[in-house]
Amino acid sequence: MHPSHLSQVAAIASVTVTAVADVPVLSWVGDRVHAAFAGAVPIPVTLVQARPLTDPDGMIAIIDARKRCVGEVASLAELSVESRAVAQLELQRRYCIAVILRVESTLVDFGSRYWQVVTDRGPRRFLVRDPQRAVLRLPPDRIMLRDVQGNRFLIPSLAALDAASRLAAVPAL
Amino acid sequence: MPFTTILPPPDEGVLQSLTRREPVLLRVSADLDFDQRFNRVHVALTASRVLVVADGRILQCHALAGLTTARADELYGSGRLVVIGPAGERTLCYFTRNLVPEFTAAARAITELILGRTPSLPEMSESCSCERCQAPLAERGANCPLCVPRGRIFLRILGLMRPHRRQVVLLMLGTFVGVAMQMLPPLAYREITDHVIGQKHLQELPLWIGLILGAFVVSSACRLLSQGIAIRISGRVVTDLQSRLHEHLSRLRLSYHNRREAGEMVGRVMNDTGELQGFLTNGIPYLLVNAVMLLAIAVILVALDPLLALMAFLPVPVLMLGGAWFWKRLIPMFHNRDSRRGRIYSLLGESLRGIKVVKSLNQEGRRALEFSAANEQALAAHALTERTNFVFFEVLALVMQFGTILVWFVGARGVVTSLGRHPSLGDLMAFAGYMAMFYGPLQWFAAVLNWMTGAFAGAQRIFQVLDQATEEVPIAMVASVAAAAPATPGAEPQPIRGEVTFRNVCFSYERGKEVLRDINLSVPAGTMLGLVGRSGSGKSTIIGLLCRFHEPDHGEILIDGVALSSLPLDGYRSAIGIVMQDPFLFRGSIIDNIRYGRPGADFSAVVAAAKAAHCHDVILQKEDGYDTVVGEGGVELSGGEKQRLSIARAIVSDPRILILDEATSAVDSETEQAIQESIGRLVQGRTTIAIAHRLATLRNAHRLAVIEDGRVVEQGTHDELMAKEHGHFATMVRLQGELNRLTAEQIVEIACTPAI
Repeated sequence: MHPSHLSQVAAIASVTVTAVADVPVLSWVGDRVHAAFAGAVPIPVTLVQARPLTDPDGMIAIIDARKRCVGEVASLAELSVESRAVAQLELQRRYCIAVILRVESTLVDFGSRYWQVVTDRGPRRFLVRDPQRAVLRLPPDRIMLRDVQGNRFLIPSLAALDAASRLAAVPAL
Repeated sequence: MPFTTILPPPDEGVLQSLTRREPVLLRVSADLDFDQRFNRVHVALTASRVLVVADGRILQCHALAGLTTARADELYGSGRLVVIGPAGERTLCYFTRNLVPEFTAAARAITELILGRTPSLPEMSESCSCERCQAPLAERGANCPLCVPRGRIFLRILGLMRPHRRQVVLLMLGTFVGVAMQMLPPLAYREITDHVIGQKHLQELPLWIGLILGAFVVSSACRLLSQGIAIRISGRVVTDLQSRLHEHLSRLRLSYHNRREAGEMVGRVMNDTGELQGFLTNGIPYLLVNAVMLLAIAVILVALDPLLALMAFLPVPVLMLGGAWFWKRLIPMFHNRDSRRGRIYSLLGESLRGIKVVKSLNQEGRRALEFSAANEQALAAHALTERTNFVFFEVLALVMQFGTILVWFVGARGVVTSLGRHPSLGDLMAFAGYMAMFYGPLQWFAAVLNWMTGAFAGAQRIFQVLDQATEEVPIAMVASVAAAAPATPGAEPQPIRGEVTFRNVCFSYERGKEVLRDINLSVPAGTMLGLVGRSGSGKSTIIGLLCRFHEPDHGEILIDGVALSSLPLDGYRSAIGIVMQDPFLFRGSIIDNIRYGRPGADFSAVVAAAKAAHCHDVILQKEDGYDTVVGEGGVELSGGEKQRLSIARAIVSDPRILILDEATSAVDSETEQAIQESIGRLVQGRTTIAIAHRLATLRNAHRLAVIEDGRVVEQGTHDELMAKEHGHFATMVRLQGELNRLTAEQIVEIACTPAI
């Protein structure tokens, strides 16, 4: 897009979207992240990844209690060391994705796919239905599974799984 | 105790020692620890404290007196229970999404105790995993498909055929006679070989040939009869079932449909019943015929020659077990192939439906590439499935040939060494004939059993729908309401005046995810209430509750002072009229669409309604006037035309309570003005609840309520709300005015900027 058109789009967008502020200072108040912009009083905020599937290390949006985006950083690197530590811990708590280390067994039963796996958080059994929506293939070789309850499971690399796990996983994908 | 779970000994010990001092009102177990590993952490609530216990230790202890509220937050793939006090928020525990309802209820109970109210301790008896096999369930409390009670389902399927029992008896008779006839020819071959040829009794030949011919003719006739009966019964059973399903689905609560896609329901009505029909038509006769035939042949083979029978039976375990093994691997391949094929259909449909967008954004090439990639994947899945299928049948054929070769090897030696006694050449010929009949069905048995499993799963899904309670008021509830109401003998039901009251109403679509909280609204009969708020704030949910598409979780809705839940649904719904943002027209004529709510309305009433809705002239401009077919496959109508037809529909229904859900959001200003005039006539004297994003359209409302995050945050007349300078409504009006002005100015500015 041409820069002049970009600025025009931004001009229109600024009317409907709250303008985002400078790089914030993040801190804990109790167990809640607070953000202070330009030395103002810290406000309780929620941190969300703009692209949790395809670029979890990318843009982090800062959402206030009224669910408005009040700030954003292109990556954690933009934050100070202290703020980065706060953000990292909060994101780690907020994004609960169990990484599948081994697939014990799968069972495909008429549209339902039952998985029994060992993850980095412990063993787990879960059920996936509607694979077109619940099985996301992400580049280069990652697979994100969303079970019927909304829990997330990640296979970081199908090729890197052991042979038995791969053999069990493939029919259920 | 509602959330009692079996706790590990150390944790139980902690709670027991606690119980001695103060009773535990509620305890609930989380399934993630603070490192978010799958571990147990327990939250216990007493009258004065909330505690977090794990590994025999109290990790946290908060005095309720020092807290203001509790909340369950949904995170990405998990959730957390939080208590809030003057020092800020403290996370009590983390849990997976499986436990969102439990912890939302726990948060509510903690908050109620903090506020000094009696906590409501809900029952959560429905688990999200099967109690028998521990497999995860698609829905709480659903039947586990892995523990399908096949016997019961089979009996229920048979029950569907009860009205056709005479035909079923005929079908079975035909099957038995047909199988018996098929058993005759090999025996006749033996007699021809040993007697007619071996002992040159040529005069017996016509008898045996006649017998063989007769057996073939009767067997064919029996097959034709059985198949004809099976087709007739299955067709009738499935047609009745589809009609029952359609009627039942239309009577189920909207909450049931909200959790499912229309496509899934269509699949259930058509695919599951289709699968059941296929099984009834072909599967049951196949199983019946072949089970009887296998048994009969096995007995005959043993009777003919036990040693040869043993040789013939040798490949049977391999055929059966190998067949099951192969099918277990083939089924996922079939699913994968179908899923890939489904993706192609979906892409094709999307390309065609979105053709304008694709063309306008010049993305034809990208769509073609996406389609090609999906097509290639489907081809690969198809090739793999077919290849495996082919290998499967070739291997089975080889195994069968092995049995045949073995029988010929042992049998031929036996015939030669027995010198015409037993086994004779005729015995061997008969044996070979029976073997061909014996092996054939065996290779398909595993497939048919799988097919049976599929049909049973489909049948179970159908029965699950039919077993769902419809939205009619349960008899028990009617009885209790009638008993509670003061008895007035001979009293006629009073016509609805239209006074609407919401009293402390809370509601969630999914258990634990509250979308409305403590809604209190009062709309006197004949007045208009405007609901305003951001998208997703809960306005349409309030409307849904008023229409009784859903039932509140807490609180009650009163109509003319009577609980809505106690009013007969049919009578109540006929007193409601809805004009929706995107009105739905059924396939049919315009006149039938306008009088959809009152099919008996005469033409003059329809015309009067159309005139009042400003659509009479528009209709007359259509070639077929009021007979113009609209809806799917009919004449395309503009958004404004559809809207006005739906207003006419509401006018014909003459509702006491009128609901306008963004009735003018999709039309241009001129049309909006015309529609507003129509609406102005429609609302007179009726209780009206209107949702509008364009706040100016609500200026005639007697009262306005601002909804935010599922709560009423402001209520009053237009003037009262505008008088609050920093009030929600006044701010929204100001912002909307600024937005309209600024956007118009900027559009002009951009249009005037020369492109660089």
